[in-house]
Amino acid sequence: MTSSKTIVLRSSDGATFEVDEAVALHSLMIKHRIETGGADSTTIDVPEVTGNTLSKVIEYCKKHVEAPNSDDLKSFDTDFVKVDQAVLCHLAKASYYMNIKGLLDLSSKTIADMFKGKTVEQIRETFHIKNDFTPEEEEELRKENSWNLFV
Amino acid sequence: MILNRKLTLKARPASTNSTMVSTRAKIRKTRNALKNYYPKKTTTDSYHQLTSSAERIGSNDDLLTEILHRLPVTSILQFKSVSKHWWWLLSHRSFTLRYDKFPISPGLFVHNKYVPYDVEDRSPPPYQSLDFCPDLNGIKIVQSCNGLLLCCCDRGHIRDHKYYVFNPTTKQFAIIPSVPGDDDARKSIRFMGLAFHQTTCPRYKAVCILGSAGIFVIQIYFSETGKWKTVNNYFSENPYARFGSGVYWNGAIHWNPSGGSLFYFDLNSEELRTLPLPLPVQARMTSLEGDAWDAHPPIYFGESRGHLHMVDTTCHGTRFHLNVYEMLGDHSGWFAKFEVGDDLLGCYPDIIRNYPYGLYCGFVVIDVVRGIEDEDTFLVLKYFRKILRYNVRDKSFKWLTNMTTDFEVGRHGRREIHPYIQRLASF
Repeated sequence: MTSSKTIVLRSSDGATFEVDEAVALHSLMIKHRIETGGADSTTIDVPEVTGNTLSKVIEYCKKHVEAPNSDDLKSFDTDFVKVDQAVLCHLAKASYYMNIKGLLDLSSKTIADMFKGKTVEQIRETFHIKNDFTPEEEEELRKENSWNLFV
Repeated sequence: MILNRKLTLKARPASTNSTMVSTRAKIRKTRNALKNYYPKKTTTDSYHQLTSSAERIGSNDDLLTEILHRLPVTSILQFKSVSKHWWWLLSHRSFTLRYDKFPISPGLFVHNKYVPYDVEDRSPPPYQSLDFCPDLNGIKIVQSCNGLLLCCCDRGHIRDHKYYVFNPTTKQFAIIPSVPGDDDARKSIRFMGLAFHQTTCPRYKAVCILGSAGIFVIQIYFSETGKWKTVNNYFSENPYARFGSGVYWNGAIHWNPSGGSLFYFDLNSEELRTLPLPLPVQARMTSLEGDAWDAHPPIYFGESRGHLHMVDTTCHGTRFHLNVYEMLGDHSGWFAKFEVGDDLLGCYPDIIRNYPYGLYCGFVVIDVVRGIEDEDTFLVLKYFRKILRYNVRDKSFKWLTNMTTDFEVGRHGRREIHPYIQRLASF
C-alpha cells in the first residue's frame, strides 16, 4: 500500500494544516499550484483565506474526497452551511478563490436563498451600497418594469 | 387523414410591406443615462470600504455573479435598482446568457391565470395572471416558445387580428407586421407560429400558413429585417386540414399529429418534411378515422429543456398508460422515454369510463417538464377541472390548482394552457 503524500496549507494568519494530497487536490487552485510548482510544493500558501475558514474548507474537501458516494453526503452539505452569514460569505469567497466547485455551488445557493425575499434597501444595507441613481433615472427604471414595446 | 402534398416551384413577389411600429424610447433613455457608467475596479468611496464579509463578496464581480445567477428572475429584475453597478452587472449579455442557459419553467398559464408548479414554495409567484393587454380586443396566448409568448387578439374579425410576441419576464413586446396581401390573405391565415431560441435563433421568426381551396403557402417573418418572405413552393392538403399549435424545436416548427398534419417545417432549409411517428401511434392513427379518432384522447406534443416529447394515451378495458416518447436529435424517429399508468389508475380508478361511444379517459396530459436530471421530470395532468403534477422519480402526486371554470385541451392541438419559461435576455 503506497503511503499517501501530505500537503501543508498555510492560511493568511499563519495557521498550518496538514492534509492528504488527494484532499488538497479537490481544490483546483491547489492542484494547479502543485502541478506547476517548484521544489517546495509541499507547503502551499493560501493568503486569501483565514485559518478558521481554511479549516472548514478542509473539512468539506475531506468529506467529499473520502466518502463521495455516502448516503449522508446531502445531509452533510445541508448541515455544513447552517452557519452564520459571515462564515458563509467567507466560505463562498474561499471556495471561489480556491476553485472548489461543489463548495462554491453550495455556498452561493445558500446565500442566494437568503437574498430571495430581501428588498432593494435591505440589499444596499447588507452590502453597504450607496444608491447612485438620480430620481429621474429611478423613474425610468420603474417604467422599464412595465410593458414596453421593443421592436 | 391522408397527406396529399405537391411541391412545385412557383415564384411569388417578395414582400416589402412593413407596418411595424418601432420605438425603444424608454429603454434608450435609461441606457443613455447609464451609458457613461463603467464599472470601477477599485475606489475609495463607501461602496468599496471592506468592513463586512458581504462587502468582500460585493466587491468581487465574479463571485457576486455566482450568487446572483441563482436568484429567481423576479429578484434579478428587482435588484437591478440597487445601484448602477448592479444594473450593469445584471443587464450584461454575459449574465443574461448564462442565466438563460438552463431555462426554468416554474409554472404555466391556464387561460391567462398563472399556476405555479411548486406549490410548497411560499415566495410570491411572479404572476397572479397575465396582465398583458395591448389590444382592446383582448389577448389570448397562441404558443409558448423558449420564454416568449405568441399572442393574438381574442375577439374581432380575423382580418384585423394582430399578432404579438412578448416576454412576460422582462415585459418587452413586439407587434408582428401583417402578412403581405389584402384582407382576403389575412382571412386565409390557417396557422401562425413562433420560432425562437436564445442561442440558435435569438432573433425570432414567425411562420405563417395561408390557405384556401386546399392550396397552402408558407410565409416566414424575420424580426432581424422586419420583412416577410414567401417560401418558394406551395403544398396542397385537405381543405379542412387542421394545423394544431406549433412547437419549435431543433430549428423547425412541428405540428401536433392529432391535427392530422404529419409534417414539420425546417426553417433553415425552408422545407416541409414528413414527421415520423412512434410505430404504435402510427398504427392507431391509420386504424382510426373521423369520429373514432376524435374520441381518442388527444396526443400531447411539446418541448421542454431542448427535448421534444409526444405522449400517447392508451386505454384498454381496465388498463391505462401514458406512453412518453422523445424525438431523436436528427428527426429520424422516436424512442420510448418512460411509461406511466398503473399507479395512476390505482389512485383514480374512475379515470377510465365506458360510454356508449367508447372509452373515456379522464386524464389529459398538459405538459411534460424535464428537470436538470431525468429523475426530476414531472407530468402535468388535467383531471376534470383540476390540475395535478405527477413526479416521475417517486411516482407521487401533488394537486396544483382547482380551476373555477372548465378549460379546453384541444383535440387538435389548440389549447388554453401554455408553459411559462423564464427568459432574461432581450429579443
